[in-house]
Formats: sequence, C-alpha cells, structure tokens
Amino acid sequence: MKRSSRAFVAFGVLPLAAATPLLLAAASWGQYAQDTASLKKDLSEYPQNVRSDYNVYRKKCSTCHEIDALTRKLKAAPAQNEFWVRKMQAMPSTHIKDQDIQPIVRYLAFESAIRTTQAGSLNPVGNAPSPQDVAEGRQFYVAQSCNACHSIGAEQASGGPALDSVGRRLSREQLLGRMKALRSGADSSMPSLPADTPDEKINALVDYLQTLHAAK
Amino acid sequence: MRIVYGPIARTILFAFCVLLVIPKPAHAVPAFSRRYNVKCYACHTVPPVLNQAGYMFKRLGYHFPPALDDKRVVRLIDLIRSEPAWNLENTASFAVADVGYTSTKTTQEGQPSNSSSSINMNSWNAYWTGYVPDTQFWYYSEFDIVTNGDVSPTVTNANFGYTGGSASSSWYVKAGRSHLSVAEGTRGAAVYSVLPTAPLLFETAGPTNFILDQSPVGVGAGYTWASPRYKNIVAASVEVTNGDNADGSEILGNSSKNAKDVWFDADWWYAPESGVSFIDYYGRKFQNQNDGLSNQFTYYPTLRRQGAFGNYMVASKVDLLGGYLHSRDDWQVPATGAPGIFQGNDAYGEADYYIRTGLVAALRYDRLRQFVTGGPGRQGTRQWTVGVEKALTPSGNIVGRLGYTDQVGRDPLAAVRSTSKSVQADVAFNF
Repeated sequence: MKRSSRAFVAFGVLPLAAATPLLLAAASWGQYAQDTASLKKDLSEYPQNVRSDYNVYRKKCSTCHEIDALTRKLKAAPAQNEFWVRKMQAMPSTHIKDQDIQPIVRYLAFESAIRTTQAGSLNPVGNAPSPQDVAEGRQFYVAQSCNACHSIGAEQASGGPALDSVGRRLSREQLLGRMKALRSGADSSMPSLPADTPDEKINALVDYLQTLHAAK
Repeated sequence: MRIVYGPIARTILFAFCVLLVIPKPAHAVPAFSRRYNVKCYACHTVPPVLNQAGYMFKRLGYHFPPALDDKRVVRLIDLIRSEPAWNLENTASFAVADVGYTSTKTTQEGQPSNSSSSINMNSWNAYWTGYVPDTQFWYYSEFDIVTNGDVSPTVTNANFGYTGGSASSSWYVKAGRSHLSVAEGTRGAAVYSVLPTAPLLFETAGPTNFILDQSPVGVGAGYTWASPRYKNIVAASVEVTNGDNADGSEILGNSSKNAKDVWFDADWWYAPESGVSFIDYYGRKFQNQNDGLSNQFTYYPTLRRQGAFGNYMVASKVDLLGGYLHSRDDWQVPATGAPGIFQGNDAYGEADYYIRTGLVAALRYDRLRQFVTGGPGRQGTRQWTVGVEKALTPSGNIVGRLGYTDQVGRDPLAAVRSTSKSVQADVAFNF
C-alpha cells in the first residue's frame, strides 16, 4: 500500500470509524423512548400498594418497555389493560404468570390515571393529581380505617366489598358524591367521614380511589 | 514414530491462538428495536445472546412473534400487515461497532514466551434488514466495514427469503450468504455469548481448516411449530451450501469443488428459555498438505460433524449451557500420503448468572480432544473463561464485556504444548 494510502487509512478512515459510533450516540441519545427509560423509578410519593405492584411491573414489563410508551398506548382504553397484559402473557419470553396480571394492571391504571389527568384531557374537575395527591388519599383512606372493611389486592378485610376496581366502575363524580354524602351523613350505609373533613382530603381520597382499575 | 510437522503445525498453532484471543463482537440489530419501540431485551437476554422471542423472530422472517393462544390462528400475512410501516429507520442500522482491548501472554514448547496487547477496532458493520411491505418476503444483509482491525469491506450476510404459514406453524425458504452460527439453534448451540469469546468447539478450525462459525453461500429451508404460549417450539432446518476453499474461507463464486455441503439442524425449546439442538454436517473440501514445500499435495477429504447442544434456564436467573461436537474428517498423512482420519471429541459447559437486567456473570470450561492418523496420538486442550457483561444503557444497545481466559493444551499434529492467558474487554455499540 502506498504511503499516502496508509496515511489516509491511519489518520482518516480508522479514526472516523472509531468516532462515528460515539457521534451517532450523541446525536441519537434521547431520540427513542426505549433508549432513555430508566429501569427504576422514584416511588417515594407512591402508595405502598402501588409500589409493590410496580415491582411486578418492573420485573415483567419494563425490561422491554418504557413506561411512557405503554401508558400512551393504553390510556385511551384503560379498562382493556387486562386484555393487553393477558395478550403479552401469550407471547414468548415475557414469563408473566397468572398471579402477575392484576398487579401489572393496577400499576398501569395508576400511571395512566396520573398521566391522563396531568394532560388535562379527561379529568372533569380540572385538577391533575400528582403522586403526592394520590399518596395523601391513600393515607387518609387508612387513617379513616376504610381498609378495615374494604380490601384492595392482598389486603385482608371484611364487612365491605373489595375496592380493586372501584376506579373503573364509578366515575369521579360518583365517587365525589359518595364521599360528600358520607361526610354530611346523608349516606348511612357505612361509617361517616368526619363532618369537618376538608374538600382537599375528599379530592385526594377520590384521586386515590380512581387509580383502582382492576378487572374485578 | 512421531512425525514432526514443522511449518504446518506452527501455522495451524498460530491460527488456533489467533482465533482464540479475538473477541466475538456483541452485535444486535437495533433497527428491529426501533421498529417495535422496545428495548433490546425483547429479543436478547443481553445482546448478543438471543432469548426465545428472538429465536422465533428470526424463524418468522424477522417479524415479532404474536400472542399465541388456543383460539385463533395468526396468519403471517395478517401479522405483517399489522406491523409498523416500513421505513429506513426501521430497517437500517449504520453503526454497529465493537471496540476492544486484548492482552495476551502465550507460551509454546521450545519457544520463548510471547506477550502482546492492543486496543482493537474489532468491527464496524452496517445492517439492512427488513421485509417487502404487504408480502412475506424478507431480506437480511450485513456489510462489514472493519473486521479485526482491518478495513476490509465485505458482505458477510446477504440473503433473502420467504416465510409462509402461520405463527404457530411456519416454514421458510432462503437463498444467499448466511452466517450459520451452527445453524442458529437454541442457546447452547449459538456462537454468540455473554463472554467475549465463543466456545472453542465453534471457533477452532482444526487441521482440515474447517470451522463451524462461518458464512457460506447456499440455499436453505426450515419449518417451525410452536404450541400455545410458546411452551414448546420444535424446528428443523436444512442448508445446502458451496462449502469452503482449501484455506477454510467460504467459496463465494465459481469453484472446481462441485460437491455441495449439507447442514441439518433440529431444535426443541422444551421449557421457558431452555432448549436442545442437534446438528449434522456433511461436506467436502480441498485440503493442501505440506503447503509451499516440494512435497506439497492436495486431496479431497470428506468432513463430518455431529453435535448435541442444550441449555436450561433456572428460575430466569441461571442459564446452564453445554455442548458436544464429534468431528471425523478424512486425513492424509502429510509425510507419506497414507490415508487416515482426523477425529475430534470436543465439549463445553457454561453457567451464566443473570444478576439483574443487563448484568450477567459467566464461567465456561472448554475441552478439546483430537487426534490425526500418523500424529502423536490423542491430544487435548483445556480452557477456562470467566467474565461479566453489563449493559451500559437502559435499552441494552451498548454493552461492555470483560473476560479472562486461561488455556493450556497440545495440538493434534505435533503435540506441541502451548499456554495462553488473556484478558479481553470490549464495548459494543448497536445503533
């Protein structure tokens, strides 16, 4: 090979060959959702039951999917989340067991509810519940001993119906109406809420209940 | 009487050592990931190792395997029509590169020890892969621009095919140049590894200059059956190829070697991410003995390989892999021309521990036991390799591998004892 050709290869082609992957990396970083998704989320503001559902989702789903891509795809029909999760179960290498389905569905519904209301497109109240709002709702739910009668997920309770799918069965208006009726004493089917419960607490409680979207 | 092979043995030994220390690039095809907006782990345990979905993806003509239940049959044409639209972004990957560092110390009986180290541009490839929209035709091409540090542009994969049937019962035909990867069966039979180098029995050429890891030109066909939820997958493939030149390179054009080689592979995925593969190869090639010497001669040996490979994935955490390969080739003693055989009984065992997504540690043991008629008797080589692979991005498209290899053995031609200790590290970019 001529000296000029060797120089071209040594100082032109090879450095370009080595640098191009790095340049392409810089140019394309963030271009695709699947490239930017973290494998872990900050769940400090999430309710405990949502965190345990997330752990199932993380092991089974976020290996391949970025959460935003999934919730953008699924938010249009959150009631069909279980249909899609069962469909994934029938694909190779997903390793989704039957006991994984409901936690994944619950987590997807929780994320969809947050992102949907943050987009402002479907929440008629106009508030966008943050994870903090939902967490406060859960805290209020426990503080009022709702979980003594109503179970969610693996929680043990007796005396009232399970609330796993209440967010799917009842609209926000219906839930707000029930909670306000419990506060005023108009609804005596269950223990009342304190008469001085502020509206913010009622809204937070409903924000939490709206995240419960299991099939049953 | 022990026959001294001299230059032939030294050449083969050198080739043997070179093959061992060059890392196998950790390539995946990122265009597939872009097409479906999923991370690399949809088809790979960690790139480049394929999982069960990745295996089915290839068998279905590079289409993602759909949900399979008891109720409906998914025709391939319907699957194809429901996929994202074809575009260049979904089908082209321009920079699939691998940069590595290798440090090696070798000893050879009767020679001073030798050490070397280098930073290597192992590879830089471009892939064009996809399908003709609204049809079941597909194409796959790989253009290697840099290979083992050399700028030597070549097309190592250039094939197209047609896949018919349904997702649960499919068949394909193809033609062109294809990287066989031992007929690309279940994970125990795959060349690609979480370690920087592949198992020895796939990469060792042997005295007849035949290597399993090659990209021959030919035609092929296969059939795949999958049960609901892919609990069982059974597949068979056959390839008829041109075969190799005397030096072991693939025959790419006209050749006086008229006979064709035949490859057969059968796979059975019997449990989640677990399977067995059986391969059978029959072929012929020209072989030069005493190359460059006054008593050089050429003969036309028949080459045979049979192998059984398998893996079992325990609790989605530990993958136990292993394989056995039997080789039997015609051999003519270089000194006298007397007929004989080359025989090999080679095996490997490996354990990969998937610590978490994108992080795997592995340990492998390789054992070669080979002899040639007129040689110094059965000789063996043992090798331990330990290493770790980590994905450097959440999507898994950039991976780093680090491995240490310790090898000791004697070649079957001259029984020269050699040792090799090497550290290999590489980073693969897949865009």
